[in-house]
Amino acid sequence: MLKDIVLFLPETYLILTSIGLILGEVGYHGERVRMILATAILAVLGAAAQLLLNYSVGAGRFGHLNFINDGFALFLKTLLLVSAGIALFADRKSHEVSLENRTEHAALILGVTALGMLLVSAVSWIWIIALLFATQILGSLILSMKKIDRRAIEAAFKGNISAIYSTILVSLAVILFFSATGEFDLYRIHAALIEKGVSPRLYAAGFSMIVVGLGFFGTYFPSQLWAKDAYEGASLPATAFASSFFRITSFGVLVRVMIVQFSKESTDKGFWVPITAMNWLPVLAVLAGLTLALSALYVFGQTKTRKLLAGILVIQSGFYLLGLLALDQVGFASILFGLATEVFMIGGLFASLSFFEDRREEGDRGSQLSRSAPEGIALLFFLIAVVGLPPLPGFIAKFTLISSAARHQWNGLALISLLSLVLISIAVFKWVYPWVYELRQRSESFALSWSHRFLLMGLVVPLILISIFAEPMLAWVGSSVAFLQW
Amino acid sequence: MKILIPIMVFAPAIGAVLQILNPRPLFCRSVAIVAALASAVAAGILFYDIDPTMAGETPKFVVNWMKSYSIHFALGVDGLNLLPTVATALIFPFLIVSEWDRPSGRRGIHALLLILETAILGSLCSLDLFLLLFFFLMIPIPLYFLSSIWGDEGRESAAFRMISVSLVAGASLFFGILLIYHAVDPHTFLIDDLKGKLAGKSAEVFGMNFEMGQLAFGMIALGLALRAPLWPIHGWFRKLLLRVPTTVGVAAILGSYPVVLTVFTRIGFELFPETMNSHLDFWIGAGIANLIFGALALLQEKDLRGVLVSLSSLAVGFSMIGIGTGHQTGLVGSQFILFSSLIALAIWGFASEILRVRARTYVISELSGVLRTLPDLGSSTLIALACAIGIPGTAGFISISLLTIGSFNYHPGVVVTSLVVSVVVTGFIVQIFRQVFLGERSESRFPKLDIRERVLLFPLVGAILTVGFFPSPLVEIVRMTIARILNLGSAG
Amino acid sequence: MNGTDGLTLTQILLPAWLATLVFVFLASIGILFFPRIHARIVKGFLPILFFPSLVVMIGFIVQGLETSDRPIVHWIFHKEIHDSLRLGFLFDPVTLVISVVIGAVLVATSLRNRPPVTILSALGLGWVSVSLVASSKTFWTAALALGIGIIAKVVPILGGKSDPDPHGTSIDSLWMSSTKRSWIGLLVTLVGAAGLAAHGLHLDFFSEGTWTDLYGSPNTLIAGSFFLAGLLLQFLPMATSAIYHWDRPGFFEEENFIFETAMAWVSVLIIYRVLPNIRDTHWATGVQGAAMLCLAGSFLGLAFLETRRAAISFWLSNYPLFVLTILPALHGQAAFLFLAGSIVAFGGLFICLDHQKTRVDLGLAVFFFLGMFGFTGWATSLGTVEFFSRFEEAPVLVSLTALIWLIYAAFGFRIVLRGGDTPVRTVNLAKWITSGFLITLGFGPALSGRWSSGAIPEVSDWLDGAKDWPWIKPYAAETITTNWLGFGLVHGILLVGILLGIFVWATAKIFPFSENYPKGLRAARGVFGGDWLHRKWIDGLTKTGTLWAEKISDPVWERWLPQLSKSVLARLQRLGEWVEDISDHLTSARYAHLFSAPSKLVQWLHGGNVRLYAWFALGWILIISLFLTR
Repeated sequence: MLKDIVLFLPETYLILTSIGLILGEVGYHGERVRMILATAILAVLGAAAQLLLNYSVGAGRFGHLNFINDGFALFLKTLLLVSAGIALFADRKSHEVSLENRTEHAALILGVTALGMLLVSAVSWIWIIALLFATQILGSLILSMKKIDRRAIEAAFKGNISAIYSTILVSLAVILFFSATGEFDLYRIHAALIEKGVSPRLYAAGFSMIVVGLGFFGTYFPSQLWAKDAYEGASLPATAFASSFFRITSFGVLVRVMIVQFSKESTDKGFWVPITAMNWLPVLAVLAGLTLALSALYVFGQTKTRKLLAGILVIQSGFYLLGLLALDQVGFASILFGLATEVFMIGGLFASLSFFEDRREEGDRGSQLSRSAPEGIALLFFLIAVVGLPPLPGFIAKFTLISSAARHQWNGLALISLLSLVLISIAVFKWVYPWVYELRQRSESFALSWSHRFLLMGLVVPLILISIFAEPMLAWVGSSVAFLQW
Repeated sequence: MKILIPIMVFAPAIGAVLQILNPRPLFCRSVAIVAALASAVAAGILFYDIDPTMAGETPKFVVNWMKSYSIHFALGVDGLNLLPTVATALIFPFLIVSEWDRPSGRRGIHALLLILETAILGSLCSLDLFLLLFFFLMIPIPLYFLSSIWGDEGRESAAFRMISVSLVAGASLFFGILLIYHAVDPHTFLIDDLKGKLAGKSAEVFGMNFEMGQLAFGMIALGLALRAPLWPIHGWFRKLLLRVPTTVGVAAILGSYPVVLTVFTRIGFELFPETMNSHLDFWIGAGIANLIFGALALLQEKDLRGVLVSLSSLAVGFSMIGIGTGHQTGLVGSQFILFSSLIALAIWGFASEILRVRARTYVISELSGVLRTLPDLGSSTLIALACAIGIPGTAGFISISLLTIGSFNYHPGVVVTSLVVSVVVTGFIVQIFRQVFLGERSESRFPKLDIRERVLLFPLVGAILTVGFFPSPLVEIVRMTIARILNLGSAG
Repeated sequence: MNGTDGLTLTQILLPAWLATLVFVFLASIGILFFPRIHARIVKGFLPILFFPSLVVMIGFIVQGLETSDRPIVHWIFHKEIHDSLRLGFLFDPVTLVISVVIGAVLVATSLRNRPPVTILSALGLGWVSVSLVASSKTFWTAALALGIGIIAKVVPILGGKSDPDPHGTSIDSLWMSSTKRSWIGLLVTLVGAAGLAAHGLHLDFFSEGTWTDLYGSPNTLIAGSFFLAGLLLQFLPMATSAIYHWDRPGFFEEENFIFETAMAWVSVLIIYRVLPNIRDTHWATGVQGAAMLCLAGSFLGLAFLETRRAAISFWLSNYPLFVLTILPALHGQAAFLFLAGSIVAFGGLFICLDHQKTRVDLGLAVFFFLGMFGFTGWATSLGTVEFFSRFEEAPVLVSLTALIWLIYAAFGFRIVLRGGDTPVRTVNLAKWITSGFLITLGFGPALSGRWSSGAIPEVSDWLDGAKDWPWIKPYAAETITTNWLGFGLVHGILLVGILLGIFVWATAKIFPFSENYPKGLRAARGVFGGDWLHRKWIDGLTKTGTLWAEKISDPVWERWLPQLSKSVLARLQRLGEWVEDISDHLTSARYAHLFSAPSKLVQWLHGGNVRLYAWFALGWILIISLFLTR
């Protein structure tokens, strides 16, 4: 029992702080110092500290065996906390978000992160479905965090709709599996599938429903076509947080389900093979290929900033599918490494972009970058990282993912991923030109507040550290994958 | 002595970072030149210390970067990449000096040039395929920003074409290296470990099965060919250089064919010796095509910067012929032509920059009689052109004679064609030289060269003449390494 | 002198000599960059330049004319690699004679004419290239000298005026045509040498063994012919006659030396050095034949030049070609003496030909003219007599050479008599000193080292191993067979040449001096029956000359060739532009359109219609499950 309390501590702490914030908002009557941001950040830091505690507790099931505390979950939890911290800061800085409802936003972010952390460690389907639905609905609400703007509300609406669809599909699949095996726990379903075996039609339908259902917010093939509409409408910091949050949670669940329920350990350690005779790897390969190709083509045609960035956000999951395809420890490590770098890159890119978007008067398309050199250099820095060009860790992340595909002879897929990388980088460089071409003339530059510099440093420095000390980072990610308890 | 290599490669990068962090202009300028000079001095010491008989191991700096993927941070300087490295390290400080008093955006251009230098030196010295890819893909990025910010009008399409071609080239190189990485059993990127292991391996793409020698080598060769302005696919390079000030142009040249041809020789003869030797006449054909169409391009030049493009495609042609002979002398010649053509092109670049500052134009027809007013500029350009053609007494002569001997062994026909082309090219270059420098004096009085401009021209002219008269230290080192590589590839 | 443990004179001689050569090279290049300094030392520039070399030469004479050389140094590649290129230097009597004569001549002319700085530096470079060739042991050092020679040709244009004269040929064309010729010649020689080097022939000048295996394989045959053809190409004044059709004030001696004779003497020296290897082979006779052919060709050009100045330059610039008609056939002591003697005669004529017809000038010019043709007492007489005494062995070759020499002598003497048309200059002390020095040097015994020709027994020879000097009776050394026929033939040619020069060619249109000597004209016609030369034939000769000049040589060089090259260049230019456009499309941005169609399709797919979501998802679930259960 005590162990459960300790293991649930980070989530409870976050939820309590968000409730506190809401109460503070309700009871607010005009004090000058609000300290909203400070409390939220404190909450995140506290949760992070408690997470370290969980590490020491070691792997094991908790919460009446519904949750699991393994390296994989813990790593994803830390990522969620980091993206929450960045979101809080960016939200504070951005002018798109009205100041009055800052507390709601902070509370919303903290609550969603707590639920996400739970979802990532959930093992039994009931909890997965419930948390999935909750996070997706609340997550879509975050998308609407913007001054009264029809498109933001439309984005949130689309998010809710897809939340409903994905939950329906996943629960249908769970019902099918429950009817066949009578279990809700992943491990027990796995065991049952192996002994009793199940009719191929049911297995196929269940598998495809889960894959497509999780796709709604994992933004790979079928749903990637419309997932980006949500991202276009929302405010910049909200998009950054939503995209990384949804991707972390849905890939966390997808990987766990694929490994635990649908595959078994092959002969040598660290490799998995689909359980029944039905080999669903080509399906994942096709999904990954289509995601990469279609979103790359979409991005290539874009000129507007928001649509371009939305396309780039969506294409990342195509790469993570490549990691999943490999079904081996190194593949999952590359997914986690990709997610870690993505949190910083996307966060940084959107933060610096919102800095410029806020200060740009309507209609002047002139080169913005000269307005503030450090901010401009940071923007270019993040752009090159997101697109996966050296010398930044984006390149290493993309390399590890593509090489995990190539390791299992999916060379064709590797070729498609490389071409899609080329397409999006060409589109990005075409987009960067108006920002850069008058950098020669020094136009007046915006004042850069210290907190903004701190945010930038907070994003740039970890990126550089990751690329230099790629080895320890990969080792840590590798070890946390090894934790996975099957 | 091994620690010198990373210093040489990363000194400019550190300089660039300091440039960005510190806003004070005077401090930045001196930081830039100190960083470039540090790298040049390190290259000089490396060159001086390398023992020509190559008995001892060539200096290598190998550190584990990503053990799980067996990626090593391996930088090494041996005979093969010594000449281009020394040339690059020697020329970059001059590039910094030539941008010494640009009124606006000087800090930016210095920082980007330094980053470019690190990328070039890195890709020249890297002995690990991943590191090579890492630096090779890094080269076009600073070039893109240099050309799109400091170019003349029409720079957007030129910069865009350059970056898209380089990205496609990088992607095909990436795919080739990926195939090699996964074809070898204990996956490794180190070129030394990969030697000889790639024969007979094959890879399957979209169901079709390809032999490693064709697919991987083909992709790498395509990637490299796109980056070096090999004749048919060099449109982007011409457009870039015609839109960009010559300092950036020379930097682009430094990043193009020297890196590509050194990497091509190393990967070709070390990893795929049999494919390389079975296609020798293809390389020579490519070389001759480059020569012929480079000469034709030289004829239709209307802009001083255009001359840079055609001279570099000539150098590529000569070097490809050298590689094509597969013979030891030919290969030494091909490495040597890289060195001599780089310095000649650098001088021509600086000379046209100096002319632009005075005559406000790069167009050849508007310049005339420059020699009367600037005799020293005229003479140094004359010596640079002599080196580009290969008149005895200059470094160019050594490379041309080495190439002739190498190709004479291969087939006298090659010698005759290159002889005919070089005579024709001499005619064209003489034509351009007369048009710009001789003829009646144009009415505008050009001010005399100041100290900075003399510093730009004379040391490089001195380098050409000294190497022209005392080439043996340089040639010896390159010959030993190539002998080792060729014997390894059991050819020549 | 030697025996001291320290550096003996011979040891330091060669490095000192090379140092002086480098000093002269750098000084002549340097003077270009600092024109102001030249203004102050304009008169004494060349003497200052050549003084250190003079000291070294005196050192050489003092230490007994013993050849001092260094072992061959490898230049590129290790020695044992069969195609390695090697450098080698030496200082032997040939170097001494050539450097001294050319140096003295250049100093004299430069003091007299006081040319501008670029011409002076070109003279310095020319001298360096000639002396470097003279002191080189391998071809590759000589190649460096050829390179310097080309730079010397380019230097005059750096400061040269560009005022085009009536014929539309400015100094550029002077520079263009002769540099182009020597550059192509150099290239052809280099290719040949590279070919030979590639086949293991080290082209060391003093290596034993004739190049018999030159016939080994077609490649070596090509390479060998390339090598010699390139050298021959260096001195073909006929090929660039445009120079001589144009007369302008200025420094015609200097320009003659820079643009024609310097490179010519460099090639003669290379062939002289290569002689031991190609002696008695077809190559030697091949070179002789080619030289004769070219000389004959240049007679046509020579015969019909309007101005005396052009005639002098053209006749003098054919002199190296003339030397080469018999040099390949000689060997050993005879070859050395003939070469040295002709250099001295050339030097003398170079100074004295442009004279004012005073008695002393005429005497000097005639003396050197005699030396040219091997008049007894001259150093050249040994070689000529030996060659012409081979009448029985090779009648055709010797008779043909005799005929060519006859015509050349005739033209020569006509020019010697007529002198030059430059205005009268102040008495030039330097010219007299140099002429005096050359006379003593040209004197047979001096060069042959037998000062006293054995007459005064106890005087030691200053050139050990020299043979007795053949005052009257033909020389009878073991290796050289000379006989009275040769001796008679040589002096016969001289006599007939002089007479022809004075009388028979009176009617030649070029030099209107036939009117000045009516008596001589009648005597010549009487003695030689000039009438058998039908008027028509002479008119024919004149007409062909003018025809050649107006119809062929001028149009070819002034109008036809330039137009042809312009049209070819223009067409090539259009081809270049067309090729550039085509290859430009290969990497053009239009490839992006390749992707625009599919990206539009994908954008259409991305319609934001919410209702579609569910149906699309369900559709895909169906497809996946069907795929899985197939």
